[in-house]
Order: sequence, then structure tokens, then C-alpha cells
Amino acid sequence: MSSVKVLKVRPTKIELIRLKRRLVLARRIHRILRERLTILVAEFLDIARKTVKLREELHRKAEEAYFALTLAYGYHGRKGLEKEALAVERKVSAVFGINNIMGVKVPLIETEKLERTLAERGYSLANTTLYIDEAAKRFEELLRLSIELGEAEKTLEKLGMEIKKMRRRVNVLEHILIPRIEATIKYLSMKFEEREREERARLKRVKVILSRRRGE
Amino acid sequence: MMDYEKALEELLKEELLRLANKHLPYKKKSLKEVLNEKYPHVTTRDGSIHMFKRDELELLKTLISEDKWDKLKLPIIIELNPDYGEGAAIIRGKVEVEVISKILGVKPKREDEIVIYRPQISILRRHLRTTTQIAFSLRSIIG
Repeated sequence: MSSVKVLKVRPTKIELIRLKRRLVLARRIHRILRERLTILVAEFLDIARKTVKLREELHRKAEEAYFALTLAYGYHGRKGLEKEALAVERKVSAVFGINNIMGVKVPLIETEKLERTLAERGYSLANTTLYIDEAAKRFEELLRLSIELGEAEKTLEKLGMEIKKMRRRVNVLEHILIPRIEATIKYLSMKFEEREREERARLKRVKVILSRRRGE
Repeated sequence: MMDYEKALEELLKEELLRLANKHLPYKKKSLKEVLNEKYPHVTTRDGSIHMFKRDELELLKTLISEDKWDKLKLPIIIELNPDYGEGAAIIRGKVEVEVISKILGVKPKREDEIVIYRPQISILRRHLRTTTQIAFSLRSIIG
């Protein structure tokens, strides 16, 4: 006996037609969902690659930035660094938007140019050394990378969640719904064929009885 | 009809409607238009906002001459079309084809449409993630 369950439906021709329509619809949706899943997976892999690269770069830059900061700290001391840091304090403005990837809303962060020139930074060039310039430059790069990585990781998370949901839907259609509808259609068709055969046999029997009566 | 079946039918209908290109823009905007906007964006059919990255707009600016900026409509639609086989997509529009062929480094057969395949879609999306959108063609929805 087949392991696929048959839907509980009334054995009527109308129901059979309805089921056939539903099967066409289910197959179409399955095809679209599968296509969407393929695209989402491709996007996911692409962003995953980008995220890995960004994270590696971030680690490298962080190492360089903290090394530059240590050198600056060693030369100027804590007080000297704090004094210059006060001068360069600034607000970073960013625009948080939405980007739509196949119906999945992912974040988009646009920032102003984060890397500044020596003159734009605002600290006294006469009282500082190259160590501070280098540390400031490295940390500006680090900030830009952190924002980019944040955006990529959030996108990855959102896409991952959608893929999980989508895969479940595709599997339900592929392994449960479509086989059940197919099995029900088959069951109903067989039932109707059987009814037809019974009807034919009954008619034959009636014909024999009638001819016998006429013969008497 | 049983409740279970009703629910199934509703689910199927809902899925089809939900997937029917709700992420596409309600109205496209030209490159020239979005370059003048403070926050370059379009409104999608589901009412949400889809923003474009400035970097991508700058890239597009360099790929075509200035007189074509108002002819390039964004986002560029990558239309999945089952007529050309599974995974194949078509991009329509003269300027759009010019941009895409420059990015992919291919020579289009026709100047108003180009057929691309899955690996090329991937490359294209890597360069223009916000300024392109993938869509299902009507044939793939209706069948």
C-alpha cells in the first residue's frame, strides 16, 4: 500500500476537476518557489563570501590600527593623546535605508566619507607626530569597515531566515501536498472507473434478465 | 469543503500573490532623476522603499554617456524567463543592454535585449545589487 495519504474528499466529478486545478496551481507555485529559493541561495552565498572577506580585512585593519595607536600612545602618552582626541571628536551621519532582495527587506547603510585629510581632522599638526596621523587614519578605515560588515552580516541573517522558511515551503509542496493531491486524483479516477464497470455489468445483467423474460 | 483543504487552497493563493513581483518598483526612475535625489530610492509595489547605493549610481554614470542618463531606468529588471530555459533571464532596453554588456564584457546579439544565465546574473548582482531587481516573467507566474 502506498504511504502517501489521500485527501478526504467527496468522490464526485466536480471534486476531481477541482483537485486537478489545485494540482496545476500547486505545481506552478512549487516551480516559482524553487526558482526564488535558488536565487536567494545564490545571493546568500555571494554575501557570505563578501562577509568573510570583510571580516578578515577588519581583523587585519584592527590589528594595524591598535598597533599604530600603541605607538602613538608610547610617544605622546595618555594625556597627550587625550588632548588631541578631544580636538578631533566628530559626529558621523549615516542614512539607514531598506534594500529589497526578492521580497526580503535588508538594511542599507550609507555614510558620509569617513576618511579625512590631515587638515580636516582638526588637531594641531605642529604638536603631533606621524604616529597620531597613522592611528587616526587606521581607525577611520576601521570604522568604515565595521559599518560595511554590520550591513553585510544583517543582510546575511535576514536572507538565511528567509531561505529557511522558503525551503520548508518548497519541501511541504514537494513531499506532502503535491503527492497527496496526485494520490487523491488517482484514487478518485480509479473509483469512477470502477463505478463505470459496475454500471456496465449491471446493465448487462438487466439486459440478460429482460431477454429471458421476453423469451418466456 | 473541509477546513484543512480550505486552508491549503488559501495558502496556495496567498503564496502566488505574495510572490507576484511585489518587490518590483511601482514606477521606475531615470539615472538622472536619482542622481539628483538626496536619498535615491524607488517605492515598491508592496509600499516599501528600495534605496540605491551611491557607489552603484556612480558606476553607472561612468558606463554611459551623459545624454543617456535620463534614458536608463532604474532599477534594471532582470526578468527570469522560462522560454529561454531554466535559470535564463532577459534584460530589455537599449541603454540597459549597453550597461549590462559592458559590465559582463559580452557582445549582445540584439541591441534592445540581452539573454543572460545564472552565473552572469550572479556577477551582475555583485556589481549592481541595489540598482537591479530580479523579476518573474508573467509566463512563469501564469504558466
